[in-house]
Amino acid sequence: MKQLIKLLPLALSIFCYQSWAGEKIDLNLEATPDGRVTIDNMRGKITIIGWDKNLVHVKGEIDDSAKSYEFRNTGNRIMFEVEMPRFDRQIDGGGEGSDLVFYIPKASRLDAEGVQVNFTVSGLSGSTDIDTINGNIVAKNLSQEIELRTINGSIDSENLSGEIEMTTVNGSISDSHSEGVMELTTVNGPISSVSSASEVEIESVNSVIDVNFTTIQKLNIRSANARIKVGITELAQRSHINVDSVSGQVELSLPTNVSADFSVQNHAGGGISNSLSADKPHRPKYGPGRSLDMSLNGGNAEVSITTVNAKVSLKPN
Amino acid sequence: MKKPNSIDQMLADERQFPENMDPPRDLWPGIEQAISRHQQKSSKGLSVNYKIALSSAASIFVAVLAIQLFNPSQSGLPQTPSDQGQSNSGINALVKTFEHEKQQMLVLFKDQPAAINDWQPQLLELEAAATSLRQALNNDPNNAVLIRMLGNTYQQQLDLINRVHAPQWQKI
Repeated sequence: MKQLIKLLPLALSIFCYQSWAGEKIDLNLEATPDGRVTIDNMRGKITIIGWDKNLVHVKGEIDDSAKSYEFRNTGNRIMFEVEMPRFDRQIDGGGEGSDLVFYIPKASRLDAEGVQVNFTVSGLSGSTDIDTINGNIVAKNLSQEIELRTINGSIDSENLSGEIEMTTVNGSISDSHSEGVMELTTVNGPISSVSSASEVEIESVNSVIDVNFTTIQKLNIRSANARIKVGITELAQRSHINVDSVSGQVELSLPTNVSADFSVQNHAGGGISNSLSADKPHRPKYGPGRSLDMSLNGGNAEVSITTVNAKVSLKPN
Repeated sequence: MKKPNSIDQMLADERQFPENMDPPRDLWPGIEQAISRHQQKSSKGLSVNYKIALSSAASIFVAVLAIQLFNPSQSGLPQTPSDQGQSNSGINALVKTFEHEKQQMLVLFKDQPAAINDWQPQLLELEAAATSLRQALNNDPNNAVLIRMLGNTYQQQLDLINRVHAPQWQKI
């Protein structure tokens, strides 16, 4: 009997239902303040908001085609999963997807994934990991480790801090006011960011990169067929800027009194234009291309730009 | 002192055991669970084979880069035609390795639907970038930055193929 009493709270913390088309739900589960929350939903719209209560609350409508859903507490982890019928494996199945809003403890470690899902997530200070295939991600006011990934969709972020990683294949990344260490990757989509991140890695193919940083310690850009426009208000002590680009153009704007050693190599066409000083690029004795090596105001930072078939412009802010 | 058993005695003892011995409990449910756990784990990201393939490609790239960095032209010694030939063969080895990995991946994912339809033009863009880099390397075969860029461009191709065929979404 004692054993049964011990198991009773656990039994009460599991909701596992057969669902019907467009079922509306409004459920709560007690949660630990910094526990894991996992959300697995195939289609629809998911909003996740961090709050001060030690409770996971979910409200909204389950996918029309869903077979069942499960909402349960397994100790340190709250799990919500919508199960779809096996015949509905195709992404473009009929009916409406889920439309759900979750409120979770703000220090939770969130792990959410879907196939055709638009995610909106905000107000979390634990780690955040979002994965979707066909869908957009909107992320605001997140901190710690943040990973946002989509294949076919855009990512809009605001006020992120910590270790940030955003990846999309077919879509844009638009970021503002983020700080910390940031990694942005697109294959066929523009990247824009106005942030105070200290270490930034950007990788892109076939796109426009337009980024502005306040104080940067380390910037690494790799691109193919991209127009790159970088503005930096201040270079931190011994900072390192590296840009590798094949085709396209590179425009780098730096403070007027920038203290840095520059090494700009331009291979096979393009050209180098320098408005930071009177230094002129050199032509190699043999073969195409240009190069510019110069040291300005004591050479505290290091700027290295290598391009193939791309024009480089160095400008004062 | 224990008396050693005679052969007859040992054979007689052996006959007493049943022909097949069953374990005290059914182990198959546990084994099955462990196998499915392992499959789930490996389907979460890149397959183990591809992690090995990618890391081997990366290590070959690092090795080629090291050859480039320590070759005579980088150390200030005059460069001979044989040095240049060596550099070219190093780059060719790098390209061959990545192309091989790429072809293997394309074959592996041949019958698998991609998450997006227009990923091939992006792959062509990256291939065009690799061609431009190789042309630039013809003029400057010992340029370590260009070799690194070439390696990155190939890595981006592998990442693209893998990403659009990511096993995470295939399992749902």
